[in-house]
Amino acid sequence: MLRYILKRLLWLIPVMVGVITIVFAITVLTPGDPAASLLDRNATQEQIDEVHHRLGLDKPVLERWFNYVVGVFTRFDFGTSYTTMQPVRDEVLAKLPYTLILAVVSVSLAVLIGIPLGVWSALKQYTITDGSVLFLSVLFVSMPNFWLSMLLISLLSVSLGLLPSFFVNGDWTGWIMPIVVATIGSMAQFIRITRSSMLEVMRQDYIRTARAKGQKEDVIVMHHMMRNAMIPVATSIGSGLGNALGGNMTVEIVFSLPGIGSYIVNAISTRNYPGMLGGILVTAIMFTVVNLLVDIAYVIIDPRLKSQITGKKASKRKLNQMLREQGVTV
Amino acid sequence: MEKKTTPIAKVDDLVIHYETRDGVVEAVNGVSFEILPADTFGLVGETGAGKTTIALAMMGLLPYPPTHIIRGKVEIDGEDIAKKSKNDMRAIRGKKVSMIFQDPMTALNPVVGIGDQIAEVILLHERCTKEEAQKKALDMLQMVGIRPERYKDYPHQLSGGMKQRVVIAIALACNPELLIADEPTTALDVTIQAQVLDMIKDLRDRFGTALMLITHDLGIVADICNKCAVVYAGEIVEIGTVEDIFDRPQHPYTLGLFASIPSLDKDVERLQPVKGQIIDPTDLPPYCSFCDRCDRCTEQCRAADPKLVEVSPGHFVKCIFARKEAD
Amino acid sequence: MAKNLTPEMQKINARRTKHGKVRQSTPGKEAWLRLIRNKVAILGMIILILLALVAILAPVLTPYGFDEVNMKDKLQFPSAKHPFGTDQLGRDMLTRCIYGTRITMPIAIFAVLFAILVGGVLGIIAAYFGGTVDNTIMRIIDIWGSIPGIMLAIAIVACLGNNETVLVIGLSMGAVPNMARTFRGAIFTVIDSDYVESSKAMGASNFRIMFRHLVPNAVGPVILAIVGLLGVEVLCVSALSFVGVGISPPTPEWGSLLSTGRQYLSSHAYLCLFPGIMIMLAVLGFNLLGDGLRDALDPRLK
Repeated sequence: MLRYILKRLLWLIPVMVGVITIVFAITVLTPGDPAASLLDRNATQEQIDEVHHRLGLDKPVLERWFNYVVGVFTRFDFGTSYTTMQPVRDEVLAKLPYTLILAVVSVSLAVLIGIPLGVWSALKQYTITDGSVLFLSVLFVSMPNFWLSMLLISLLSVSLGLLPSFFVNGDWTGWIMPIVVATIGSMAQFIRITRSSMLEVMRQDYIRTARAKGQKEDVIVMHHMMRNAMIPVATSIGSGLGNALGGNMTVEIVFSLPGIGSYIVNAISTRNYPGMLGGILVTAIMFTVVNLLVDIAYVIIDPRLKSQITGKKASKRKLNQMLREQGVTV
Repeated sequence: MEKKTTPIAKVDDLVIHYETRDGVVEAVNGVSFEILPADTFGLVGETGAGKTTIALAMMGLLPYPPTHIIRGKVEIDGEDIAKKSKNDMRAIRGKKVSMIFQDPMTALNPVVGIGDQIAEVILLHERCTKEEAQKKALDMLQMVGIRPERYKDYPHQLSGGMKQRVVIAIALACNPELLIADEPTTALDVTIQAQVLDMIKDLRDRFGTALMLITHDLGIVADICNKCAVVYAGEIVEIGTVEDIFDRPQHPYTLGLFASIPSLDKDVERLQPVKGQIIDPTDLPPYCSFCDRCDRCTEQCRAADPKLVEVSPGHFVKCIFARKEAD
Repeated sequence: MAKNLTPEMQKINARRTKHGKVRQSTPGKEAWLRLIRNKVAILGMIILILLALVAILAPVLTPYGFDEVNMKDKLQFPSAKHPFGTDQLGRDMLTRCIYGTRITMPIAIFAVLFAILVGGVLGIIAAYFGGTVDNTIMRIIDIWGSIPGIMLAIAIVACLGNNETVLVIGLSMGAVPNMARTFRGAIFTVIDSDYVESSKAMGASNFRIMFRHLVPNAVGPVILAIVGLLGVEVLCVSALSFVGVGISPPTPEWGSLLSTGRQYLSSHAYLCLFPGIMIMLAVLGFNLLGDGLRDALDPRLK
């Protein structure tokens, strides 16, 4: 298991190099000169050259790319922001908590509410309950989250004056609406995935076997159905977190939440390429780590994968003892 | 003359339909039979003839919707299971009646260890602690010929034949009075089939369990059953002792089935499959369902649905051509 | 005809067989028949067809031009004359929402088509050749996919220019990993099947095998992924113009309408209401169609 995790962590290196390469390629293909946008329109060539030199833009692309990669891996240096002249690393790390809190809290809430709702809906298949849960979830999945944000602001901030319409540091109420919006979207996804996964499991033969044993229906649901149904749901938690990292960008913007999403959009609009690169890089790292965590969870739930990766797992002491009494070497 | 005992299971004029996207399937149409404690009852028929539906009805496991029990009843130990509460039914399933399913590949929960899956049924029906149940599960594993160190294995680590052994161990763990085996060997390799079948036979004798064997293989029926019924389109077309059916078959469908098995005794150029396809169960005729595939079909066959006729004591045939056997 | 149908079951039977039996058809036809009997799918299709009609008939449906400024009537609440109200320049919001269909939907559709082209080819090649080719392609796809699609799209569009072509390319680049994985998975499910073996045995060329045998038989999951992606892309197009990359203001893209409306949220919330409903309808159409398709294509459901 440890070897597997280590192997997966090493995979981060090519991911980071790859992401840097992709984003570098985009900036290289960009028409226009970032230096020009930092200066007046009637700046002299010397001034432009001076800025080029300061930003390191006078070197060939490959050299810049190589220096950047080396900087990232040796000094954890993500470059310097064109606009603030601050290290991008520090800026991004300052933004990271907001994005992480929003993603983790909303996805956790979505999991806690969405999975039971999905299970419940599946168990009530063909009823009005199921129909309405399903309809509401497809409605919420179809809603752009920035629109939902604005509807909530219009209702809760403008009309009722209950909550602040934008986030200010130090006021925790500013978190409520962004989290609600982010939760609703991914909750709807979890409901849909859990429901269809449950329906799939419910018609499996081993559920019939459990019934044929005379097992209680609630035990069948909790023990036999859920454990199997959760396997695809676990993957979707990963992609849900991944989506949240990228997709909450618009929520961050609407609520002026200073997360990585709004940082990247900001960097892009000011042609601050190192800022954009750093933001995207950190997002990709988080995304990869989340996927690793999900894969580990996956291995824990599904024994078919466990034996592929780790061989046999040690289990309860009592059972081993019993096996020993039977003359089996454990 | 058999000893008169109360049947363990009695199916009486059972009619079961279910809804599909393509209309109502008339899966079971007026089936009656009974199984005595010492019986091994074979239920023979092609795929889709409604055999599994009958078995599931006897377990009280038909899902509603889409299944509708239109009429008739199933009695276990003289009691109508339709009148039993859910809890009472649970006490019967796995304890009095248990079932081996057709496909061992999918019948076991992939994320639970095989030993625990056996222990589960013991824990449900017997007053014992978890450790005792695990111990008994271990015994059961050995009884079906699986080494005890495999207790903690998961289904995917076992071969098909071994999975079926586990399923059998689950079914027999609580010493049921009736074991329903739904095509227990169909999904297995030919070499394993005989082994598994011998084991079922052996355990049946050891536990004294009545057995209902669902199969499409007449050879298996001849091998281990004492009574059998031939099912076509949800109806029993011929029922009787194995001798009745094998030595003196009367229904054209039964005759057709025999013509379709290879035999070492007779030297035939070509095997005769039963011609035609099994009838569409969403579109049964109000007359004899076998008409379209029957060589002897006449106007009279299409006039009305024939009744089961007793041709000799205990031997019934559902055909207008059925004749009393001369003694 | 039947043996034992009770009146109640006869009713069920009549309901179930109203549109005729579908079982004896070919798989494609069977799925189609199931689809048109699926209420959810029908609802989705109706929404999409209506949106398509709205896009085509836009000039006929509304007396105003989408950029017809009328400062006299600016910021008017919904009325009979302007059912969706007017914006800060007095432009009719209904008209702008209607014309938005002409912008968002084609961009989303072309983005998906382009993603299918790139991702599909990559996925098919990976699955068909397997081994090192598969490994290399899928590793690249994994790296590619570790950048959230919408971020990649924003980066590409912001850097390479705000026009429709770049938007299509940017959005599709974000969706390529998804498409590549879908196509690869679909091909893998059929690649070992007997008819591929038999066509290899008969000496069919690799290309022929790929497109004549593999592609048509892996269609189900691919269609589902594509329909799902269409909904996602509609959301992405509007999200991009909402954050200010992609389509810029005078063009009435739904997301950019929302972005403008946001400035008037406290006083003229209707400016935000209607474009959002349009986005939701479009996405809902694709999602409902996808849900219906999933049922129709699932052979195990009865």
